[in-house]
Amino acid sequence: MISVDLLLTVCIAYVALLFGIAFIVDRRTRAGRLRWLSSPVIYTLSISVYCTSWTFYGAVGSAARNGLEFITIYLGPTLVFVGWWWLLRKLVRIGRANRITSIADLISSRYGKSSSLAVLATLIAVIATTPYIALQLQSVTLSYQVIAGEADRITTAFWVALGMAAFAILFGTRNVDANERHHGVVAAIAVEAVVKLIALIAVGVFVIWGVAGGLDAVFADVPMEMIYGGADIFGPRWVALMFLSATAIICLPRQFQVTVVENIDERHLATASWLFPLYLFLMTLFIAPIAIVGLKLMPLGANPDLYVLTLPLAEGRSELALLAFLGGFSSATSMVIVAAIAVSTMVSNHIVMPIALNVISGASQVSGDLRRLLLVSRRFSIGLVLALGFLYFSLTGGTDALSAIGLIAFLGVAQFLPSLLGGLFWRGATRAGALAGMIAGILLWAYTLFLPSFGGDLILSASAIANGPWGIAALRPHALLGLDGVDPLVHALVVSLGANAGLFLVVSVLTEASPLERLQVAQFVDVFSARSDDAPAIAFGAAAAEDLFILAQRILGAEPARALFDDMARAQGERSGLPRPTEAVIGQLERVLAGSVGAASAHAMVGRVAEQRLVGMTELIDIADEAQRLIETTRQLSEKSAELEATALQLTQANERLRVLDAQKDEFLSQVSHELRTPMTSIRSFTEILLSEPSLASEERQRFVGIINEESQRLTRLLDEILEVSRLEAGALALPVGAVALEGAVRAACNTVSALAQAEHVKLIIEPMAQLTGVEVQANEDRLRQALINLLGNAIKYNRADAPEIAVRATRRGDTVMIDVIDNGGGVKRPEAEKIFEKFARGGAAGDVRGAGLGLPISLAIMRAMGGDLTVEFLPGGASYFRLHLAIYRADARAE
Amino acid sequence: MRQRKARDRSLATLLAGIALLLPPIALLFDVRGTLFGLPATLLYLFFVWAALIVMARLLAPKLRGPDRP
Repeated sequence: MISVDLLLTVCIAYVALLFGIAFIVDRRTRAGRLRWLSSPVIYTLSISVYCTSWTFYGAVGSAARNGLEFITIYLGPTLVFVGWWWLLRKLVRIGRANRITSIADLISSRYGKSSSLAVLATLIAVIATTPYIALQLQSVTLSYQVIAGEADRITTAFWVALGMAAFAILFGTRNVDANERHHGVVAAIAVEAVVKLIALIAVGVFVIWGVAGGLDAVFADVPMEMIYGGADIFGPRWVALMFLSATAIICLPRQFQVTVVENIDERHLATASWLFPLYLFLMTLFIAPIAIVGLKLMPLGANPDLYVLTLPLAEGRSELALLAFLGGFSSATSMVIVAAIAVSTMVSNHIVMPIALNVISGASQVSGDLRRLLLVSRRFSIGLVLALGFLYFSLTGGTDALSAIGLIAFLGVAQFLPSLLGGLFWRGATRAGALAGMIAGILLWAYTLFLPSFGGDLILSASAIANGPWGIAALRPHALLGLDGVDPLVHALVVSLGANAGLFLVVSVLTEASPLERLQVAQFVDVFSARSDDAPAIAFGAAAAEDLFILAQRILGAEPARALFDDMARAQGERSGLPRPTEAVIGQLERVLAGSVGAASAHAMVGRVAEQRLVGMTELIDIADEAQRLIETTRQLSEKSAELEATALQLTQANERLRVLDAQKDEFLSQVSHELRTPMTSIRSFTEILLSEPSLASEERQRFVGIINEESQRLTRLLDEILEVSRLEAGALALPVGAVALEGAVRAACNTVSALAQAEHVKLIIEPMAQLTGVEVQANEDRLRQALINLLGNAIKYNRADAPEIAVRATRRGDTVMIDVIDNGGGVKRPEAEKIFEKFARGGAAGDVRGAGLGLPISLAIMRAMGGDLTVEFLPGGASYFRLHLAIYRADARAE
Repeated sequence: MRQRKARDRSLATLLAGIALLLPPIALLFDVRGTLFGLPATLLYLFFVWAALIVMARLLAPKLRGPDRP
């Protein structure tokens, strides 16, 4: 037999060993020398905190009572880890990215950092952990009783609880880590995981080959009901247990703590994905044989939960029994430590600290004070959790099967599942939905499973459990709404999780997410989307630099981007490759890009690549503003360019006109010199004849002098005309205008040319202008007469008709008077009409050279100077005539 | 490319595991007999379990991604 003293000594020595390991590891962590301690194997072993004394003792008991179904508790987690890529990876990534400290923190963060959700989740965690802690107390108490004899159960449990609380406080709250990681504890848990595995395998090997005498012997002569349990093993209970265990490996606060919070490298999950199922496999391998051999050999009343311990004792192998006790002790302590740390973190972070901060706000907040407060609240929380566990144990009497108690806890934490999965994968999940679902789920869990587990000692009486409160059958906890004949666990699972998930879905659909929630949705649901899937968080720096380079290339072009990045890499002292994406590099790149795309866009783009930051509302507004400004600037530019185009067109036109005018001037000069040359030549030649021929007859001489005189006059006239036309055109010759009687002016002009007309045998007709009698036009009388005489003279001179005839006709149209000079000679031809007003141009019909060709230009210049006009009008048939336009005189208006 | 293939295989493994360990497929192996002296159903469950572990072991290096730089 083992003495109690030896047992206690071994236990204390074992605890001291664990404490020493934790202490050394913590010191090495602070020194930065983790090395193999940060290996995936340690990580996996710490996850095996899943195997508590429920596994160590309870699984054998479960196998003995219910057959094969014990295996579901380990198959569920196996499936979750084999499929790690689809859920656990996302959970760990989110946990690391958001520095999540607990499952309550995760759920509250996802739903807009809601404090009410955090408190609710913490309460659920505390309540659901209570039976689980009680389970550990019960197993340690029972195993102690087996060795130490019939000590008082409650007293023993009290001391166990007290010892465990002290143990957990010593381990879990020696220091406060910023990210809630406990390297020392993890190392101690890993050692415990090895101890419990070795202990169970040792007992298994001993039982199979030492007691039964081989594997064949174990299963020989065993009734199948003993192995398979109930009628159909793959029934609803099988499915429910698989589901619950798979849920528990994610939702149990302590599993969340070791898997997500204590994770130091996401890629450790890959190793855990097969190593953890392998660990479970080895733990489970010997459970069925131990149970069967126990059933065969042990007396009928023996507690099957304790076969692992009682079988070696019955065979007189006390050292193996001691190892088994240590294995069970390891399982229990590791669970209590981690669960206490996890739950106390939640309680202190989400309940105690907010209250404490509210109370002491205003008082000076020294960081040391806060730290001490945190530690005190953690220790208090651990004490509370263990006290609740002890209370549960003492209320239930510590007689239930271990696995039954564990399953109550499993279903309790399973209430996290809808909100957790919904939060990870569904954008539409809202805070109100999570709250409604979790409240309904935990209440129904308490009613259908938790409270009935007290057997009538807490709130619900025994009769209420059996017949429903107040005798209402529809409210029976194990058969709500008459759902009879179902296993109580399956019933509770369907009712509580069904209501939870249903309310979560319906309320989420009916409510709107707050802005903060929407922000968090992106960080949770899309945690992988922005980065490439295979880039782990470690390689983030390199990946970001590459992305930044691609971004820069796109905006700046390949060569400038290359040059910029080379410069930045050199500035960091690197010969080649890309620069590390430091704040300075990102800032510089942002400024360079801002030159191309605007500050807000550059900030948003670089931020997106460099930090995977969300584009906030203000940034979006900035981008929109910038785009608006850009549109405005573009519009102004296009307006300016249109203006410039118009100006350029005007300039081109002006230039064209200038070139035409220049050409006209040149032509004019050459024509003038040509016109002047003709009379000059004849004057010179006749003068030379007179000088060189003194013997000329006097009549001859007289004739020559006459020609010279005539040519001189013509020359003078020509010069006068040129002078006049240029003065008129330059506007230098001011024409005083006044009221001129139209009829008088026309008749006077006709009288002047009548002699010439008679000489040329041209008939001149003035058409009657009765309606114009007394009408006065705005003109200069002399100049008007000159223009008229000019036109009439032309008409007389160039008329080639057989019976030449000229008609003068005046008509009035509104404020304008038109004087037409119509001859029957046909007038000018259409193609000539345009040129006819040019200087020195003569009508095609004009065969002689009596005019210098300045008459019409002068007339036109006169008419325009008086505010009138001179045009060529065409009759049907091609004949044309000249028309003078004049304004009717008004006293108040004066023409230029 | 290699990772995508591994990802698909891991999903296939997971789905196969779920299908094989739950009814109705699991019901096919609810045989009340022994094989090599062991209960057949127990053997079946441990066999599927071991196969899942082997698959996870084979897929883990490909899914884990490149080593730390």
